[in-house]
Amino acid sequence: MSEEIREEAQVRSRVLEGLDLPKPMAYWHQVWWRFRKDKIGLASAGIIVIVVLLSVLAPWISPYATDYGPVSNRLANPFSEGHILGTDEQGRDMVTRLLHGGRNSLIAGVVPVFIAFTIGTLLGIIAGFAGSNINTLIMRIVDIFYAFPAILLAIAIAGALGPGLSNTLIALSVVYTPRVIRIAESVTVQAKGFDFVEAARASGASDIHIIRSHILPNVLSPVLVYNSTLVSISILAAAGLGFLGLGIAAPHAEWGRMLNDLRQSIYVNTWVPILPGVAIFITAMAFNLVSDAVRDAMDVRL
Amino acid sequence: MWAYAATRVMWLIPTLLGVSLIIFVLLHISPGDPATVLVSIEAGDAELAEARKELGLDRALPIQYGIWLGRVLRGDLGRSYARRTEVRKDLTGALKNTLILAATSAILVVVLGVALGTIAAFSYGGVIDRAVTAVAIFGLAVPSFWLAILLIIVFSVQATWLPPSGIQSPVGGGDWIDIAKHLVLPSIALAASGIGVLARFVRTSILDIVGQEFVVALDARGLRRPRVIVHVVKNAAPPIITLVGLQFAGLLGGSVLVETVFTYPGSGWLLNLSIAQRDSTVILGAVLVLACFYVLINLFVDLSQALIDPRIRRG
Repeated sequence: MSEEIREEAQVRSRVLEGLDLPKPMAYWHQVWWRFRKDKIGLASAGIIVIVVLLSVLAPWISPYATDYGPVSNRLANPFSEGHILGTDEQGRDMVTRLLHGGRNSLIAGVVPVFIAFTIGTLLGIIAGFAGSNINTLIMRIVDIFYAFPAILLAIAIAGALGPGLSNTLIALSVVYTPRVIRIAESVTVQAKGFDFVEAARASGASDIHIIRSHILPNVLSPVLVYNSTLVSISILAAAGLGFLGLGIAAPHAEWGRMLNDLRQSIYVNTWVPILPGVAIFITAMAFNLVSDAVRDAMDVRL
Repeated sequence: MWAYAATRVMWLIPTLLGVSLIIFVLLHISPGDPATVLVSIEAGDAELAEARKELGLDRALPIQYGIWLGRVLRGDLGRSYARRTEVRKDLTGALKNTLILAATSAILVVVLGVALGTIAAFSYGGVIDRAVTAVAIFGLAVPSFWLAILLIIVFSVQATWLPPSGIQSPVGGGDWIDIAKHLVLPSIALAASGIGVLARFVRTSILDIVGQEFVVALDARGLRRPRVIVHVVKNAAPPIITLVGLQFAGLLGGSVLVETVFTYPGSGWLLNLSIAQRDSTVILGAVLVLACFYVLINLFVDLSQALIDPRIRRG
């Protein structure tokens, strides 16, 4: 029987080859092809690449040392001599601070999304695939986390653990993981009902095999799209925690914290204090627009 | 409806227990010994042990949770590490101010969000539509605390039209016009992202519904435009109400950041002060109370949704 099917398939593919049709594109190829046509998405992706490169290269391209700042030159205006973006409330160069701040702000915002993606997808698939008791256990715990407004839960966790970059990462990961679990679970339950899963099970495929080759490919795109929207939210939340003094400790730069340190100076200098916010805004906006483009390109509706 | 309402209300119990359990665990792992604030600073070990016993801190963890929960239910949230004052007393006044700010912002979000979204949907593709979409994208990415600083710079520092801080003027203030003036900037900063999100969502929801066959059928039968719009709005409402409910999370959480910028004497400002002093009883007490508020708001949202949409009642 299966021999016959294979033969027929070979015949068909030969016929199709003879017709010289354009090759059907693989899914990810299609996604890239559609994404490439989205001008706003591409431009935003370009901005992200620039922000990431500047942050990674910060120690080598910064004009000054991070903590160098003569107090006599406090709050210099942008475009003043030697300081294109001026100096902060301690006389430190703003370009240097913003570049180094980008490192910490990006880490604090992006890493939790990766952690939530990994753990959340795993637990979501387990809950959706196992069903019954395991599902109830995992999903009821998820419900409890939903009872908190996200930023308040992050503040509670970071407040209990104390300030610092690693505690920010823990707090935001705990906040976002249940959200990913919920998406992954609902898509898994849907995928489990598809005919091809039934067929695979009937032909004796193991659970692991079904999850790997039938469930995971179906779960991945909606979860990836959701996580891409989480990045900009997470960057804003991380900056918020930094702003409240729950982020990385004092001598280190971080955009949220810089904004809080500088806001006392708005009566002295109007331009310098808004710069860290511009950095947060542009980065969050770029991630947001890229996630819109990714969602359209992957053709997923959440 | 009543059966649905009863089940939904019953769900409050496990939800609130779960919330309290998370807060208890966080209290337990946060540094500090709650007994130290009950005795005088020079107290010896014996006195401290006595106080710990009184609080039940020598018992097994599940029993400690029971004792703590009993206290919380009677309104006792413990004492502040930094000021030794009762957390409940610190919180009551602050919460009232937060709710005033959050409610003002909520009205702004709902009225402006729904209005802008509806206008954009019915002028699809036009200048207004594109402007609303742009505002929505801006609102999604702008950090509320940065917008707050920008508003202060423009309206309080450059043009001195509106007060930059507090809830009333220190001298001769306190009447409602004075308070309203103090609320303008914080509520705009807090509401901005919600307005953007809601407007965009209302726009797509209405466009989805307008494209459906029953709307064409209503039109074809010769119903007048306003009657058709009523049908469209009624069908678009349930998901919009869900989103409005979710926006409250943003308002309660965001108020922490915005209040900090405006030194507005609410729970957010209290939280910020407590974070600086590592005063975990106050931080977690405030979060507990705000989360309970949010749970109740969600209950209200779900019930009002069931009132509009009979499909939800039947579950």
